[in-house]
Amino acid sequence: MKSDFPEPDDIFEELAEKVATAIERGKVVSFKRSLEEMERFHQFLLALNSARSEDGSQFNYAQISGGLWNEPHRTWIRHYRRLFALAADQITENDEFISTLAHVPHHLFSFSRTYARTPEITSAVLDLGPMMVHRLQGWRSKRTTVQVPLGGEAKPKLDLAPSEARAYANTLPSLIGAWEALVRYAPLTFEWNKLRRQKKVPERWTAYAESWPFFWAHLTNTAYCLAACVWNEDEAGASAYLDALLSWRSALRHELDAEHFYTPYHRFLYPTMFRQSWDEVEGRVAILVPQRSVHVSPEAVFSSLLTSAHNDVILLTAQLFLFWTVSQKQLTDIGARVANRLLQLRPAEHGDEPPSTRPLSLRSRFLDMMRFEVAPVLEGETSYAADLDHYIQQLDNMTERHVVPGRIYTPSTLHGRGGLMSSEIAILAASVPMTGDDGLRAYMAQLSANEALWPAADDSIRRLLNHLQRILQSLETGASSIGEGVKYVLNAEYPESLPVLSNILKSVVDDVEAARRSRLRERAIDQQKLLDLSHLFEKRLLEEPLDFPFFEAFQVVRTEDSGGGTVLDVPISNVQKGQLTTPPMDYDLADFAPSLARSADDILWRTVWGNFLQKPRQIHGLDMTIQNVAFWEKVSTLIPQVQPNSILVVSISSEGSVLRKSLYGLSKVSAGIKIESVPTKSAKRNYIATVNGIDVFGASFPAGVSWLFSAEMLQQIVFEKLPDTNLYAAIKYVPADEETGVLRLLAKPKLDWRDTPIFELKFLPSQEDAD
Amino acid sequence: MIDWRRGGPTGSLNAWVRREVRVQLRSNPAARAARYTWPHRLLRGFFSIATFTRFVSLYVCVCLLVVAAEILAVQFGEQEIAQWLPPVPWPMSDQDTWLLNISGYLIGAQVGLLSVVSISIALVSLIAQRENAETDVKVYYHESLAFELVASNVALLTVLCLQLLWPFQTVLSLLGASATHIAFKPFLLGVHLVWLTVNLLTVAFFISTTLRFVQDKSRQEIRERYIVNITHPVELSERLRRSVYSTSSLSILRSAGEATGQDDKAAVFFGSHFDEPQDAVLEATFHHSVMLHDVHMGVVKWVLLRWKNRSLEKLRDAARDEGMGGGRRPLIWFPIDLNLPVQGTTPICFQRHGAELTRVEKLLLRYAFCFRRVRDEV
Repeated sequence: MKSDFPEPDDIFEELAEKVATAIERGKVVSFKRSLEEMERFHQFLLALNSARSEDGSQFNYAQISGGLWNEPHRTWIRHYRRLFALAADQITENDEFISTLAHVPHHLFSFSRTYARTPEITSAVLDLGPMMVHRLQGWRSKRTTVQVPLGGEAKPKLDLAPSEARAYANTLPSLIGAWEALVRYAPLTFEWNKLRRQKKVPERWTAYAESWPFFWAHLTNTAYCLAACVWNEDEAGASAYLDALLSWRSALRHELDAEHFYTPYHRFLYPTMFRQSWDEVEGRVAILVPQRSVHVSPEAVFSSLLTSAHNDVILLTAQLFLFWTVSQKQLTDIGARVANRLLQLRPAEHGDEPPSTRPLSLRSRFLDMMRFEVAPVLEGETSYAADLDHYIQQLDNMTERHVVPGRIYTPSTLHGRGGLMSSEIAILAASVPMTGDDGLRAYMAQLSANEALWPAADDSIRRLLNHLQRILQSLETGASSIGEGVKYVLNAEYPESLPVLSNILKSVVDDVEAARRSRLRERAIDQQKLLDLSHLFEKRLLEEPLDFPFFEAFQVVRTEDSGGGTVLDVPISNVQKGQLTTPPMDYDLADFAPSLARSADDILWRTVWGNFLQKPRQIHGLDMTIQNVAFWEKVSTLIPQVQPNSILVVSISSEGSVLRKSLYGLSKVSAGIKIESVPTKSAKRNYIATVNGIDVFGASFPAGVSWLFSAEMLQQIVFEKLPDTNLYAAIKYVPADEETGVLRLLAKPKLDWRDTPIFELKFLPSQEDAD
Repeated sequence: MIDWRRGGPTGSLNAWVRREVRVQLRSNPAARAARYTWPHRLLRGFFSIATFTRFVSLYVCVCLLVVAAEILAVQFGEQEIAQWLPPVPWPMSDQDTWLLNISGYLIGAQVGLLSVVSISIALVSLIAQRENAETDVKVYYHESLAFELVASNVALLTVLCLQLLWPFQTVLSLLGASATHIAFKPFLLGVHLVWLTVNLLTVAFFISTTLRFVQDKSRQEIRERYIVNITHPVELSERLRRSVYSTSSLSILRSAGEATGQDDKAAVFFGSHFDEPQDAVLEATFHHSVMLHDVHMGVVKWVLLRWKNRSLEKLRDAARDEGMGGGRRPLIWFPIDLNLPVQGTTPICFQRHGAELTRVEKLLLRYAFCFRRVRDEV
């Protein structure tokens, strides 16, 4: 009994059981009391696990799974799932259960007990919203029927019974209200008033940054709820959550809009700025805000970022819904209809009235979409674009087919925004004006002329150009889905839009590329980069041990004297100039500098071997094969002349193969020949075996030819300083044209050889060679 | 980056986790608010004896000590010792009658206490069963010291009943070794009285907990107190232990100055399985079921850093040979999981590429992984 202590999970489950029992019995008062007890216990557990790490940041031990399948805080959240399902079942009888449960996230944030609201905990609590919507959709699916009017054609219309539909429609506003209350009360939860009164600007920025995970999770979950309704073809739910998503930003208008600031380049502000200090943010904003503008506060930047994120989520959600309809993932066109309303920012309550706001121009649409592509990438490959990819992946994941848990399968859903290109093009094409380009070309020309405006300078521009090239390719292949998408967005055919869009985008690409090339031509090579490369090359040659085939125990020295050495000059052609500018104007080739340094060995080896080949050789003709004992006896008579450390180099393909076969017992060896592989030598390059005490190496020789010489013939390599420099090895860039050039790897080595002979033995190829 | 020095000189994993949990409980406001008070802890300390057998055994030990003292007193001059003690305020001839009367009252009181406790437990159990509140009842039993109190009451009642006959003293008397000038029985009666008083206080505590338990707010407090003091430290330690053991893979090869994350040149994994080679670098044979209980991470780190440096030298040579060398990243891994019973010849460490471990290093690694015998469940 003593060891049977209940764990927090057991207690949590029992509290949930009490709530569930009250729902099943229809006891509202008991339900509310039990739910409050459960919520307080949940808060207590979160508070008990709260901690501060050594750097002062908040941390929650409930995030440590300790090898378990789920993190404890996720397990606690899952207890609510059953309650939502039970409460959904009671909607027609009593909707108070589900309405009260809809306030759980709000309660968890606003009770008096404080706990570490880390992004993970916040996100888990806000996941209660989508969890509830999924349970509601589950309830709805159980009750929907296919309604076919008498005598009418069969059509896939799924609908609830009228009484249930009414009850559901009556419940939705209270659920949406509870969900929106989270944002409405966020200023109180995060104590913004106190923050503004008492804190200094950098601290205020940090506090806003800490609240960002909450707003992002709420925004994306609102869109997720909408997506769940759209996917389940729930018209009433979709209308309610469409309104919630469109009016999401308005809940904070009274708090933040007083601090508004204007910049024509607001699209270049990204939420990744929340990871930066206020000084860095201020620096960035100063570039984007015209000089005449007033002082920019953290609230203003925060407000601007919230607005941008809201627009992004609306745009991407619309793209996804359009994709669902066009790719025929759904029976009805609800996806396209909701996408249309999202694009027009037209809430469902306005019915089919024409939108009050003017449709966005091609320029605005293009800039809104371009924003995703040019987002900066931070350390650790994190970026806002990656967050959006994750968001799309999550949303589309609900359309995944049923899979067996634990089985490896290929997901059929989207991994990110890449799969939405046809929707993106369709939306752009639908915005194409009958004449002109809405000033897009001129605006882009102006933007591309000023590299500093772009979030990641030339890197952003390169990414945009790449993306535009992909769009142009798609337009050329002319996928039918694009045309269909345009039809859905416009509610009309507009076949001329695609070639017009293609022409506009081509001219944009040309203009941006031209501006970029002009900058590249003007930009000088960064001499420091070249010098760093030279030092790397020099270090590899002079300081690290060189490993050559055949030769060993030689020294590498440097001398101040000059004369005697020959300049080694190896060109590497077609090197992009952009690689060597600061900031770089070309894609960072992986391992560019280290691979250059690594090639130093090979370059020097070619010089050494070339020099060795020019040395005189004493030729001995032998009328025997390498398998004869007499051959090895002859070799042993020559060995005293090629000391120290004599080696025999044979053809790697013929004699090398014969020796290896003998070594592994695959062919017979004459008596008196002892072949072995010495473990300490087996790591040497091109080593084959040791025969009668002689180390045999392989090279690309013809069959029947071998060389006998001392492995220590090369005594030292002396590096002299290169003329007009202070370096022993250097890399120089010679422009070939305005954008490419040649890298010259330079060194001046002098080789000192020992005065021992080289014997060239010519013998008969063995029978096995012919085989 | 984990500072293993906090786990003592050898960087013990368990010591490190204990320290972390202690610091967390001290600094966390929710934990501080729900800690047991000192009198409460004292009471729990006494009742940690917990079972009937242990209570009776402890009393028998006390009794035997008293008997031994009586024998020694008789042996070494009872009269001289009696002179040093205060005089007994009642005639020695009436002593047994007094004792019998008082014991009778004590038995009466004890029976009364036991019935109150038993009825309360029964009632709460019945109510809880009706409300489907099994875990709450378990918490209540624990927090009200119900089992311990019943055990203590029953044990005292048994002792009082048996001591009506004073079995040990009777045997002494029959052997002619009982004291006539010093009163040992009243000392034992005093023990009974103290025990009964503790039981009385605990019954008061029990009743107070019972009454509080039926109120929602107080029940929440009792629940929270139970979690903070009983389950949370154990549960958090267990989670932290497993988490820190597996995440050490990321940090153990890094020095304080280096960035976080896995070392990109050499890798170590704890509690992970790969495509394992036939021969383990280090293995141990256990004749009984054992479980990995603790790891001296400081020692493991010292060994692995030496191994890494040697391996990287070797890697550089290999890279030159092959021109690339990317595929020969030195890797070492310890497949043993925490809390997973093993028996027989068990691999402790595998290695792929990199330098070989020396004999001393292997010896240290074997010392660093501490196993503890566990009961066979077969």
